[in-house]
Amino acid sequence: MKGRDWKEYDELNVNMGPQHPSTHGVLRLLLKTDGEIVKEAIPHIGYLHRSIEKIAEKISYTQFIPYTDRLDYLAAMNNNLAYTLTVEKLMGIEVPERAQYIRVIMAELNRIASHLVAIGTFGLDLGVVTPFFYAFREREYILDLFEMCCGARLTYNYMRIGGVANDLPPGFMDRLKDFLDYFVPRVEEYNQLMSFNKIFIERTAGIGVLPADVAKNYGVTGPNLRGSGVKWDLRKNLPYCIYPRFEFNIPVGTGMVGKVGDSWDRYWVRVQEMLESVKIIRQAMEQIPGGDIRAKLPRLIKPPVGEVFFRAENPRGELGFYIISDGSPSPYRLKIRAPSFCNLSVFEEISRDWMIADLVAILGSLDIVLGEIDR
Amino acid sequence: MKYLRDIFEGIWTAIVGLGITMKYLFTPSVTVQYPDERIAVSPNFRGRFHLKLDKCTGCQACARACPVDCILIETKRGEDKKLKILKFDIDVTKCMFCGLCVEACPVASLEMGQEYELSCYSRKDMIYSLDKEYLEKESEKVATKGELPPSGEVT
Amino acid sequence: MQAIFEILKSIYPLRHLSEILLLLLSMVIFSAIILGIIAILVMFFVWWERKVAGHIQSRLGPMRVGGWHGWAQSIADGIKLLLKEDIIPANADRMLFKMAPYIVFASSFAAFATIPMTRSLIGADLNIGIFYILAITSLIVIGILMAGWSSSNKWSLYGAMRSAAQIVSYEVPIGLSILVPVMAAGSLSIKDIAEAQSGGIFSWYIFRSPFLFISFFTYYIAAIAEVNRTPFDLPEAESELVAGFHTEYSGMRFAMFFLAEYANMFLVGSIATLLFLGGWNGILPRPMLPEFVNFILKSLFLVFVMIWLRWTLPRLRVDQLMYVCWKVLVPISFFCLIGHGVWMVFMGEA
Repeated sequence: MKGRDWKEYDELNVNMGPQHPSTHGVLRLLLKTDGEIVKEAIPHIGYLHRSIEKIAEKISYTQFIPYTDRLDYLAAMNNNLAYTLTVEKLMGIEVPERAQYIRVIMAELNRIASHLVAIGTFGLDLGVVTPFFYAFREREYILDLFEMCCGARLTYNYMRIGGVANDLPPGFMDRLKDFLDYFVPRVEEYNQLMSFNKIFIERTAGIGVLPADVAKNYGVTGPNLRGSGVKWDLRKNLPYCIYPRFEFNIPVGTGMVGKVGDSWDRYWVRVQEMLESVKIIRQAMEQIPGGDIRAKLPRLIKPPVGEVFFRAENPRGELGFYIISDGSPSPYRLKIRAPSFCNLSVFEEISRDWMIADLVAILGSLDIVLGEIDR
Repeated sequence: MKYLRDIFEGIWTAIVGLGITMKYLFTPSVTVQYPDERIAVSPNFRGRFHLKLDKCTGCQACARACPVDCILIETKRGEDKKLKILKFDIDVTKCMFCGLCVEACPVASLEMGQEYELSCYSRKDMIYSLDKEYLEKESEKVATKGELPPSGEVT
Repeated sequence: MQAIFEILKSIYPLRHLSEILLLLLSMVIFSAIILGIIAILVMFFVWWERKVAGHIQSRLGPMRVGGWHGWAQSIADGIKLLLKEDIIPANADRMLFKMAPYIVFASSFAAFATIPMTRSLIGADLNIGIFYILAITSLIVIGILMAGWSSSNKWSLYGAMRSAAQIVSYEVPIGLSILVPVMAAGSLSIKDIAEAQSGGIFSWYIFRSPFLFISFFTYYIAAIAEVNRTPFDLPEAESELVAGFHTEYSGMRFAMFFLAEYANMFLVGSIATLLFLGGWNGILPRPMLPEFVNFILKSLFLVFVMIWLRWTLPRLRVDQLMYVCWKVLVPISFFCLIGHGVWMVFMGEA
């Protein structure tokens, strides 16, 4: 047949996305399939590019904070935190104690909210719709808490360089406590509905195994790395903020129902991390002191000439900011190391020779956010 | 043996899951019927802008703080050496409701209210002339002798 | 249908028409009645499914159309679908594309001809009624294949191929599980099978022997797969294949698929009711409720369980689906078939 290999006719190229229910945004996967089996899945990105890094060079340091909300829009507080910590490291600012605690509470709350979306959509990918709604119901309580503090429900813009925007409003602590008491039993329900459901285990255990060395080579971080059994969490290993003051565990994948590093392990690490975050918040609520919420800083922030790199543990992995300052009010260059970008890069490696249905499960377990990949 | 255990596990975990969904079938739902009922937003919600024109000094601090340059202020030096505001427009098609302008205002004249239903039929309506709005409201207040409900009330 | 024929015959002006014409007329009237019942039930199922799903998920479901809990929602949806533009993809095989929804709907509707909703409300009491139903519902797969192929969409084709494999495989456990009550009653006529279960809850076949009890569940699970419901909804797996074989359909053609899906649910519920749950016979030996109400209540309960399962369980994968069919359901139903034969011999029922 015109000198073409028979194999070429055997394969069917299918575009999965950019408009597809389970690509979690505008991601396009080019699939080479043989029946149900996917020989190769190549991610194509860039549909959500907004040139955030370039915009940063035109605006002041404070003005960039709302843009960080729009990187990983499910964990805006953590993005705020990572960025402000970077600038503070560059300028050598000491942040007041109370602000430190507020920051940790917010970051951990947002971690819970983000993981709730992650496990909810993971369930949705596997065809179980109900936990998704339960997860969003719980997340709504967290968003209410955020709204009390900063007035927004998704793009918070709450952290400031040298502190936070507002003090905690009256009644916040009570509502937070109520939420935590309400939330912990709900996790058990997710476990019964999803984690230990036989069909769910069959669909995820042993699927998309990500070995630890491959994960390290690709720069995979966050729950995906820990799901492969690597105990690496910046909150413990390279502590920032006041994390050393709290006691919490780092859950890692153990291959409880399948192999170490499979989709179920990545999912299970997230479920456990939510409970660890609850622990951190409980401790922070006890220890939080009074006092200032913002360091005394000039209105226009002009860092000294120099460069800085800082990374923080986001729900999806290590979010790093690299800033070169030329002493002017806006950065000379700002580079973002987005965790989802690195996590997605390993997808091609681990998605070979699985079925289409597994592909959806693997992508869901990697938990990517396209806002951060394309920036 | 594993075969039988798998079947048993499959059935048992399905029954456990069915129990949970059945429990929620008979618990009251958490959602509200939106246009009929509303959940009140928090007092410091970042919604529609309001300007207290009498307080505003025309210092342009908000316009400078804005990351997207959506505030346009035109002023004229009046006879009493004070700045008179000719124009105070916020283009909400650009605005991302970050609230940096409100934070920057030294006299707390720019505020964000609690209205969140900001959709409209034309792009012209998305440019809020806050100074004119304020003047209109003032004149209405004079007409109704201050019996107007306070702005930003959410029912 | 016989009754309608007799009534028509007794009406004066019609008496002079030929028998054939009267027979045809009574057929049309009967199918209109059944179509009416099915259409109303489907409307109800669509609304019910959305309400149940809503409340399971801590939501309310449709609330606005029609006043009380949005009861008119499916009517509004139906009107919307009727008025929508009918889009046929440019590269579609137009004839097959147009035909597919009708085949799917017609074959699921035709199956109701031999379903006795009461002792007398039955289209045709064939002596091979259950066999006819098995045969006619197998036609659905042809419609689905046509829809998937003619859409000229790769995802639709995937859905259609999955559906073909799934439905053809699951016919086997369905057939085997149906054979058990057939064996117990000694007849292929659904009416006879249901008739044999009269006299209280303990004469229902499901409680007659352990093998009948198990084969009720194998039938029910296999039938859920047959009508493509979660956890076996692979042909339309939303998160994988967008919407499977009906991705490209819109408007009334889509409504046909939708109607067929819910009609099939009811069909499965009613067959399970007739073969295992005593059909129109009540719980007590003495008749308490009208036959039709008994039948509908039991079928509705089975449909509710399907809805309930859908909003609880994840979806299986293709190979797991086949595993469940060939390695779990088929051996178990074979076991039940033989077991019940032995049981009948020893209990002296044969």
